[in-house]
This record gives sequence, structure tokens and C-alpha cells, in this order.
Amino acid sequence: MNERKLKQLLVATTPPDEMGAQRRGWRVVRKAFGEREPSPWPMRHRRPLTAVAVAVAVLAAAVSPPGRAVIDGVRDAVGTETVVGVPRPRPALFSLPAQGRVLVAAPGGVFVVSSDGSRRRLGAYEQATWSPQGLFVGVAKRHQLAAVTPRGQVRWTLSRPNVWLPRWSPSGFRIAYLSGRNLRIVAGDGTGDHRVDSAQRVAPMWKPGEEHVLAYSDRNGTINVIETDGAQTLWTAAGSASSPSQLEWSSDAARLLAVRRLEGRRFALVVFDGDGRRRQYLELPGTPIDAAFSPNGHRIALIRRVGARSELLVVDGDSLRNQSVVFSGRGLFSDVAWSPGGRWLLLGWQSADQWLFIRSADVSKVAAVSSLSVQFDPGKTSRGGFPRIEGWCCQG
Amino acid sequence: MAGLRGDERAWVRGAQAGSLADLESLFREHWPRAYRAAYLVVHDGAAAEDIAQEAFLAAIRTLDRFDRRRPFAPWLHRIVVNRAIDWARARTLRAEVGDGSLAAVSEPERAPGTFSPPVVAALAKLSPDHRAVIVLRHLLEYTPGEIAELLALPRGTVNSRLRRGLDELADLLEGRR
Repeated sequence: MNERKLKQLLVATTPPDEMGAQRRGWRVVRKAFGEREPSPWPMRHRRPLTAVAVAVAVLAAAVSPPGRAVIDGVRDAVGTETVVGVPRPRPALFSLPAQGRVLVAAPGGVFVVSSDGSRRRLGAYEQATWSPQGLFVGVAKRHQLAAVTPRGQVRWTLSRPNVWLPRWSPSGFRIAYLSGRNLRIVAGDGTGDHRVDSAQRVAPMWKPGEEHVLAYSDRNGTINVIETDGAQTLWTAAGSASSPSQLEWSSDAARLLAVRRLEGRRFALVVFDGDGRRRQYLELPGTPIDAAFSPNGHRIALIRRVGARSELLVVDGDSLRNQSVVFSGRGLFSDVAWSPGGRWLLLGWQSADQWLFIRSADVSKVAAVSSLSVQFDPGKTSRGGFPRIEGWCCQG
Repeated sequence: MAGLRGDERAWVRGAQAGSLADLESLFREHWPRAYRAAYLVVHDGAAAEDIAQEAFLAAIRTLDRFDRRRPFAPWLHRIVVNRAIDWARARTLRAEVGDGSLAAVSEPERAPGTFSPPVVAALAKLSPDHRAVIVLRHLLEYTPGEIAELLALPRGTVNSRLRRGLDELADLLEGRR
């Protein structure tokens, strides 16, 4: 075959559903274009502008005493503020505003916080996951996975290298976790531990329901949704959702959210339906920190960092429209969790060493608690590491 | 061609300024070849659709920084073909590690009744790297020098991949393999 003939054949090739693909492609592209935030002229030229501003400031400082004032002005403009947080917070966690118990991982170990504010340390673990009814806690530390009661009694332990990100299935019968670069699953009683696949370090997420369906990001960054008992792959997704930083199911199992970091301090939210059809795609500026579906409906609480500030947004997970900023502040917000009934949001504000309890329907109600690091590091008087919220469980 | 280049610059300028109509013109001009190129490398309609979509989304993301003096197509095709190669390599790798369930789902889709011409079937048997250079050369009509730039390869590598790919394709079509 000569090259001309080859070209004719390639040009004549008709990929499947060519018109449908174009129609769908245009729909996605048009939506992304409509939702992009065009950079204003100064932003598009910020590098040269910054370079010029810096050069002018340095030159001014070098040649004249008033130049020092210029530098002071630049420093003020950049911001040297270190005091962050909600004014007049409660000095300690006296109670939770809603029912349930909060699971916390801190440098001093894993803790369960009861609704009356009392804290029980479960042991020197690094990560934790609630069992579905809160009857047990799956805990992990370096080379060990264990199941303990909320009173700290160890039920079983399993030694595996570099255990990370345990997640207890909604049925209660399985725990998925990472061991190094391997995704593994063990039964809720500690038996039947086995390797499933290679995986990226992203928390595997069980689909709500009695079936054992798990979403995870494999070593290539492809999202896999598998039925783990039958080792059946139900669907996969790559492309716009590949290498997600976080996966989250809605409580009705109808939506899977993939959060993906992009170049240039942007990120994408990709929402799939339960069968793997991509429903929504939205790019936003900033760095994604944490996201969580509400326990009722498809609202997504989302933390992003933009420059020196962080924002907590609530986004409609069906349309990805109606993004409302619930709370914004300087420094880093670390994590967010919904209360079991969905009426409260618990926001970790690491830079302020505060937790904020925010009424999801009435943002004006914000209750702040300070000195979290010390509270979860008993015996230490200096400020330790900030505690991580592992889950708020359970209704009842 | 000059007319198209002029139109294209105007479309890019318009899209940068926020014109949906100009973006649509760009899309309609470039989607068919982008989708076809992706399909001929990955041989999977859904994956090709996703890759082409991704390429356009990436283009939108960086639209503000795009230099209007340069043609749009090579920029887009660079993204399409590189992502298609990545996807095809990943699929090959999965088949090699012998994971039955994963390999099964990564089999190329074929809609019922879809006829696959012999040349397309033969192309599917080449390595992703060979497929990519053949598609870039004979579908998208880039020169070996331009392909070398698009794929960040030495020009000699492009030439040898083209030669080997075409030889292998000829053998497959003539039943020597």
C-alpha cells in the first residue's frame, strides 16, 4: 500500500458515534468555557508586573532613605498579619452542637469525642475510620491495622507494611486500606486479608449500600469502581478525572465525586453517577484541601485554598452551580465534616488552632473552639500538631 | 490555508475575549480530526472521546496564555496524541500484568455492526508509539520534523518509528504476520 492510499483510508475511518461524540464534547467544552474565570489583564501579566514592581522597590531602597518606606509599604501590602481565627472562641471543647461522636487523629493518638465534649484516647494510632454504626473503630499506625471498640479495647490486629487510609465498608463486613502502594481488603473480623490492586495514595471509598463496591485510584491514576467480592470491575474513568486527590460517594450512592488538582493552582470537580457516566465537570481556582458530601442530598462541602486565604464552600453536587462561600479566613483550613443529620459543618482551621461548628442552613451561627492542639495532646503545654477530623458518627 | 489561519487567529482572539461563537468555530474546525486521531491511537471510542474532550478543556484552561501568532492545531494535537499514547500504554501494561478483570474491561469497545477496515485493525496491532507517528504523519500530515517536536523525540527516532511502523503495517495487511 502506498502512503497516499494509507492516508485515504485513515481519513475515511469513521470512529464510533462520531456525531454524538462531537455533540457531547461540545456540551462539555461549552460548559467549561462558560464557567471559567477569565484572568483580568493584570493577572495575565502578573509576572512581568511583579518583576517590575520588585525591581522598582529594590532600586528605591538602594538609592534613597525614603525607599525603605517603599519596602515597608510592599510588606504591608503582602501582609504580615499573624493573628487569625474567630474572636472570642470557647477555650475548650465543652460539647458538640449535635448528636454523635467525632473521631479525631492527633499527634497524641486517635480520640473519640462524645457529644458532651469528653475525649477518650484509643491509643497511639495515626489514622482511623468508623464502622458503620460506630460500634468499632478501624485504626492504623505504621505497620499495623487494628479494630478497637470506642472504649479502646483491641479486638484484632493485622501486621502489614506501611498501612494507610483504612475505610470501613457501610455493610460493616470489610475494611479497605492501603499497604504501601497496594490496595488491600480484610474482613471486619480481621480474616481474609488480600491484595486487590496497585493504587495511588488516595483514600479508597466504599459505595454506600450492602454490596461491597469500592472506588479507588489505581497506580495509573484511573478511577476503578469494583465489586470486591466477585473481583468484578464495574466501571473505570480516566481522562478528566484521572489521578484524583480525593474520592467521595454521596450517601445515596448516586454520585461519585472526584477532586483533581490541575496545573496553575486550579482544580477540577468531576461528578459521576452511580454507573460511571460523567454528569458534571467544573474547574475552579485554588488548591483543593477537602470535600465531603452531606449525609442527606448531594450538597458538597468543599475547602479550597486561594493565596493566603482558605474558603469553605457548599456546592450543589448535581449541577455544580450555586457555589456559596460559607466561611473564609486567613491561613489553612484543614478538613471538614458534616454532622450526622447534616445540620452542622465542622471545620478545622489549622492556622487558627480552632474548630468551627457552622450551622449549614444559617451561616451566621458559628461556634468556635480554640487551643485544639493542646486539647488533643494531653500532658503537653506547648502547642502540638493540629488534630485531623476522621469522621462524625452516628445518628441516634 | 492562509484564510483558515486568519480565521483561526480571529477565533482564538475572540475566544480569549470570551466569545462562545468563536470558541465553537474553533471546536467545530478541530474536533473531528482530534477525535479521529485519538481513536486511531487508542482504538476505543469512549477513551478517544474523553481524550479529545480533555484536550479541549486543557486548551480552554490555558487559552489566556496562548500565543495567537502560532497555529492552534499542533498545540491541540500535541495534547491529544500524547494523552492517547499514555492511555494506550497503560492499557497494554494492564494486559501484561495479567489482571483478568481489569484486562477484560479495557478491551476496545466495538459497537454492534461497526465495521473495522483492515487498515484500522492492522493499525491496532502496532505499538502505541508506532500508531502515533503514523497517525501524525498520514492523518494529520505533519512532517517528521514537526512530529519530533510534538512528541519531544529526536527526529531520527521519528523516522525509524515511521519506517518500522509502515513495514509492520504492510506485513499485517499482506498477511505475512
